[in-house]
Amino acid sequence: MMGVVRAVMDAAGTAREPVTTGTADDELVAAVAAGDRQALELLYRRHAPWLAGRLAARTTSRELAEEALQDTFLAAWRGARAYHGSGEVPAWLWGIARRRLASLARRQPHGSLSLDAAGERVDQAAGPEEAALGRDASDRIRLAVAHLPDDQRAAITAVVYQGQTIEQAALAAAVPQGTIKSRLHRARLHIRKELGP
Amino acid sequence: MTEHPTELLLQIADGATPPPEARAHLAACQRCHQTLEALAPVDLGYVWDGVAAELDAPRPGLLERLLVAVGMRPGLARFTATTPTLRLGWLLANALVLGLVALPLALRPATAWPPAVLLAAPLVAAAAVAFAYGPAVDPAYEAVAATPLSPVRALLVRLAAVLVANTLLAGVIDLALDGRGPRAGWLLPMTAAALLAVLVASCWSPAVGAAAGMGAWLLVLAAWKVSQQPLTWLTGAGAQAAYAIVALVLLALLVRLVARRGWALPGGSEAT
Repeated sequence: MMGVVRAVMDAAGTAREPVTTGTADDELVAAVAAGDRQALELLYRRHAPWLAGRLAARTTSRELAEEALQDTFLAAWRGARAYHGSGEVPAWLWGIARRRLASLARRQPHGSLSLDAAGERVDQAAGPEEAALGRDASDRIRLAVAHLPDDQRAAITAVVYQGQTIEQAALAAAVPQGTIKSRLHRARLHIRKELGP
Repeated sequence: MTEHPTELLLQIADGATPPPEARAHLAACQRCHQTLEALAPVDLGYVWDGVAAELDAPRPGLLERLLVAVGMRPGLARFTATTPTLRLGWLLANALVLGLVALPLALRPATAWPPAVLLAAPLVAAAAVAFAYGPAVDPAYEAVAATPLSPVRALLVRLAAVLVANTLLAGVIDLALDGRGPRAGWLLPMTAAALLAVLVASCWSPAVGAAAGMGAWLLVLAAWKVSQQPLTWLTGAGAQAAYAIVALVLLALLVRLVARRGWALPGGSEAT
């Protein structure tokens, strides 16, 4: 997905430092405002995973979450100039994402799955939930992983701790890729349950 | 951070924002990214492809944006805006034809010839209808053919667009150059010629339709010239009533044809 880092010119024709994986969020947004696609890709790579997780937690419709995520980055591309650095970039992105999700959910036809129908809540006020992962939280997750059934623990270990792809994990366990995905899903439900609210 | 934040990945996949010190590592680390993609509840690659496709999509033109702004569905607005005979080149050619006919006639004695726009507008509209839709003239034809818009409906949408464009064009030239006879007296014969072109196009082909629409109007002009009737034979209230009746009959025939045969063009597939 990522392209080669290259020199970029902003809208005024002034040369800017090319963005890299180490570029700060604010600078990435400024580069996006100047029309830098590479910066948008980096922003996506950095923030799409947690945004996807949070969107998916607020709707049971995967398509809705995907559409909202796509709309979020399109809106960020078009509206980056409106970001003046007040507040954190994750909060800005999440603000866009929850508005897009709410808007898309309202358009769902009657009787189909919607946020309301699913009993989900679009949190209008919540800011980004920074992961406050201290040693204690890490230990609790490790403990939860240790308590998983063997097949689920093996899937989590292969993908999360050993960094294998789904394909590699499936090959090693001699099961279809769908099975690994399903084990991962069930494992995460277990871990979530064990960690509590 | 050089160590992979394994437990953090599980939390991020559930929607937790990574702390600032972890973000650079996560953005740069292929392995962590791969893990996050595997854990993500949505297909991140698929979503990015959608973002990239939207960014690469051509920006809608002024006409398309205008049509959407007045409430037309985006797909139909794009289809209408891509009408070949609405392109600037075609419209300029129309203006040129109308102007070239109108200018010399405007300088002649008022009673010698009918209003010049009346002569040319039906011809231009009939030709424009034929070239508004079809595999030979429409660069977007393949894309349009794949949409759930049947050929005859497509033709009617384009007919409406062409008539509006030509009415505006002929109206401007009428005001600027001609000015003889009843204002907008060309509107009804133009509509009738365009409807005839669509009707024949629905039965044969757009090119035959254009020939029929243009030929019918040329026959009317020839009949007037040969019969040496006064100008009111072409422009008077009786003539306008006749144009209106012909247009209504053609419209009724078109509706009947569609009701009987559906929305497909001959040789084409049914799309509704």
